[in-house]
Amino acid sequence: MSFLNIFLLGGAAAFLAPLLIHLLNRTRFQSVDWGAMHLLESAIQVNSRRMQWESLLLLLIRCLIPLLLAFCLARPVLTAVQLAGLSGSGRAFVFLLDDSFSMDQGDPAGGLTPSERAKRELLAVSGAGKSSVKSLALLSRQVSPFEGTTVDDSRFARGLSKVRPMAGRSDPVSSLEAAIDQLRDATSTNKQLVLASDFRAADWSGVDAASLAALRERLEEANPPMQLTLLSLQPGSAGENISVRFEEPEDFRMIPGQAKRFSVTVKRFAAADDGETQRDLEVFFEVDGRAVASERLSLAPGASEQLSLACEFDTMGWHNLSASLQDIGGMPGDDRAELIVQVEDPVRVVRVPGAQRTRDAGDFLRLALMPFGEENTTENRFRVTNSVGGVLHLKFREEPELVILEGTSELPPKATEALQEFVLEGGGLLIFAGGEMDLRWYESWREAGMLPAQYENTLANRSAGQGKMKLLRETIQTPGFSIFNGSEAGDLFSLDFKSWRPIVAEAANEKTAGSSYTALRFEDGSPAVQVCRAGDGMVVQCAFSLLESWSNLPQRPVFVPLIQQLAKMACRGDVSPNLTAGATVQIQHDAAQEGKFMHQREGLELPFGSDGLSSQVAVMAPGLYRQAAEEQVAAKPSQFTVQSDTSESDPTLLSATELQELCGSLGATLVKDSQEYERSASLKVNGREIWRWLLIGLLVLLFAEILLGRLITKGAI
Amino acid sequence: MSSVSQDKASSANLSEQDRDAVDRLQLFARGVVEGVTGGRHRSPFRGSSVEFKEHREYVHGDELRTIDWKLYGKSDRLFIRQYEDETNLRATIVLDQSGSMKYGGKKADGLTKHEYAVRLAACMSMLLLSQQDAVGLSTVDTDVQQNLPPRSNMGHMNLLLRVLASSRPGGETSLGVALQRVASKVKRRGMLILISDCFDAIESLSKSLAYFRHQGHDVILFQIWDQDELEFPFRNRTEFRSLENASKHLLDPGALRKAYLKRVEEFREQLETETSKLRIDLVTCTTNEPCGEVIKRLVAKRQRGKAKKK
Repeated sequence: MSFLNIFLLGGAAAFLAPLLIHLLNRTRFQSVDWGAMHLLESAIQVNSRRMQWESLLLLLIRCLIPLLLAFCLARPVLTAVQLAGLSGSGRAFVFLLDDSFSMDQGDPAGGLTPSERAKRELLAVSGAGKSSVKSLALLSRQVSPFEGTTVDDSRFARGLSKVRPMAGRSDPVSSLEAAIDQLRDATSTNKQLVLASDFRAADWSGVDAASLAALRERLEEANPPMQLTLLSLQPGSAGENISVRFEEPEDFRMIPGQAKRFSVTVKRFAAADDGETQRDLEVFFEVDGRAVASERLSLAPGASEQLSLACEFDTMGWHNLSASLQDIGGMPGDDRAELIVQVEDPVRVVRVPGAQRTRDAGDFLRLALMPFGEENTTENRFRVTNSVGGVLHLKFREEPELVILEGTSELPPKATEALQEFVLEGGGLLIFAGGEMDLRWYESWREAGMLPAQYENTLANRSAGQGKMKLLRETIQTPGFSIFNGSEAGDLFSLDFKSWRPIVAEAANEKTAGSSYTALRFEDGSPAVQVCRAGDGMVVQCAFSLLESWSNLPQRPVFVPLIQQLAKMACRGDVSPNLTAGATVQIQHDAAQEGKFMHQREGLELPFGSDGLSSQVAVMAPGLYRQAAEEQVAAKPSQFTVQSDTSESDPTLLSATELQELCGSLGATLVKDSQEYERSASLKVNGREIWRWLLIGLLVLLFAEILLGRLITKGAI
Repeated sequence: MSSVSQDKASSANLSEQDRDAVDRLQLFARGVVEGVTGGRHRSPFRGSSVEFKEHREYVHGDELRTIDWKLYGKSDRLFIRQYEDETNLRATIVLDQSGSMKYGGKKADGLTKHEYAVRLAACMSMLLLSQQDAVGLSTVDTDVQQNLPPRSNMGHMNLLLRVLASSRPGGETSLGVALQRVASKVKRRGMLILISDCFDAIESLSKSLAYFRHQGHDVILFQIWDQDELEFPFRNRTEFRSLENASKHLLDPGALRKAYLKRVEEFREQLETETSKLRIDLVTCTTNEPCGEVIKRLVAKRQRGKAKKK
């Protein structure tokens, strides 16, 4: 604390006056010879403690009055919040801007959106600090349109103007961590981190206290400490929002002539007491850019409805489906949903039966891969050819897409060579275990980096008394296998395995270690299905067989979906090109090449390739992404869609209390606009004059003195 | 204790100052009594403490209260009770001269409670003697200091006045004990007139007064206050020193005023309750109140009481 008129502080000595008066009064008194002493003494006995306290309190108040008066006149400045080295110039800013699509929520009154307000306020804040260094980061952690740092306000403004609020649900903790890292490298002694957001509950409610405490620690540990300011752009009320979203289809692939229905969910996010009960909407459907249908519906607040779009394609290749709502207000980011499907011929499968092959097992496999009958060419995803009756290595060179080894003992050298070549060039290999397998042959595959793990020499058996081996009951995270977490595809965990050939997970191949993973496990934790990438192809290694004597798999309803899923996984990796905002897209391409995906509607660029950018990119902005035609490189997937995260569509805001708690947890300052930010910054630099508060305190004390004096001497004549 | 006889209490034993005081008292009392008895034909005090002599047959004109109703019940004839001494009642005035009586506030022009009590005692003596009643006097503090047995001749008045004039307040109060001593000197039933501030334990005082009532005495209690004691008008820091002992308290009177007045009120209520229970006539007065008014109040009160009994 400092004083503007420090000499007047000497007046504080006046507090001695009432003290002296009190002491003098103690020596000056009149004497009365009193008769009714016994009455006086009994009154004193009951009230002496009260009188002492009242007397002391009154004395204290009387001493404080001149003390406060002197403090007022000395004009004290509270500098407890003042930070060394802070000044208006030489500041280093990292502006962290929330670019989630909720920031684009329209104002019913016609005002600016939170995103527009954020840009305006951030420009004002950045412009106020002369010669300050600024950088811009996005809360979605997408690549900022403004790279590096600058002191140039116009450059910063241009970068800021490019930010489009399109991202899905953000991860505030990791974004703040990245911003802190960025700010830590700044050389300025005044480091300011400004986070501009609309603070939706969807983004912030899930952030745990430990993460916030860790962030605060990092902010305070910096030397000098970083100042975090939360610029709240919350609208007056949460308002309402309507989202449209495609449900992810079980299979994004179709074959020509196949009819398929795609589900679309329309949800209205609004409080039930918003007054308006029903709202009429119209959903427009497009296929490959052409309007094909529209459907009207009426939604109550908080209600959702599922619509379906029937499609059938004759032409091969990628097809784009979209569903959109028009002019409904709320957040435009989730008013349109995109989905892509791939239309292609059935997968050509070559089966290589094993020595233990039985007629039944072969029939089961054919049934699983062609459940609609061998003649049906519009429904079956697979077309199975037996290796019997032809030269094996020539079969492999007929450009099949999937080879299935059904407990095959070994293959002749020419066939082995042809199969390996087939896999390395992108073919799929699905291996089922068998009793007569030549493990040396398989070991040579493993050593070549074309088998995820080693098979054990001996078969594992469960006798009648031991009970059957089952698959480990857990939530399956493997892509494409999530359908088995529900009951629609059958109960995977009811399968009983009497025999199996254990896969030695510990002996996982070093060459495939990077891409190898366990898709399914037995109860004892050993792999039931192990997967790895070999060259451009995929190898799926199963510990079980399709023989009836090994398990009850062929007899269970889950048989067909499981075999189909294993086959899909082996032949194409089966990574869906339909993603949810925030998901990571794995772009497979020639390492020497580089390219970029373009957001079809907004023109956003998503570069990948050898320029140092990762080929694993978290995509946040919903929409359809395609490579530009002139820059087309051989990348998989060649296009993909991103759908908005439904949680971001929820317009619920953090309450004022929650926002204050968030500030408290982060040790941040909460401001509503740039002016408030500047006042706050000025306070931190210059301190706050508190004479007004002292004056109020003085008046209160004067009032208290009069009141207490009257109370004490109440009734005195 | 000293018992004063008419012989001893000769004028030669009085100082000049006391003689003046006696003269002033006599004048004062006479004036007051004339004011009180002006237009009055009958004394409010009745001789009920005389001893029984014989029965006489009732004749028309006799007071109804003298009829012996018990005898009437037995014999079916009306008789009245006749007494040995039908002269007048025997009143004993007890004057409190303890230290607390020495207080005299500004509102009474410095007149102390003791001086006021002396005046009141003189007035009462004059009033009673003028009705041919016998009047005695005891001055008390912790014990009986002076004692004059009741006499009814007017010459006794001078003696009473001299004793009153020579009374000096001081020492502690023990009214209960002192009254017990007085009781041992009052042989016959009569009237007890206690003039005091009653600054003593109520229980002890009540016990002694109850004894008098039990013995058949008619008791009148004049409680004397100074106005200051009822209002506590002090503002500045004050040291209160006891008039009876060495205790003293330095305090801010304003801070204690409310509590003190509450205590005074409680004390008064307690005394009123006790005297009411014992059917004692309590007359509360302040030193700035004329004695005549106080006596008139007493007379009025007793006549009201008499009317109620009838």
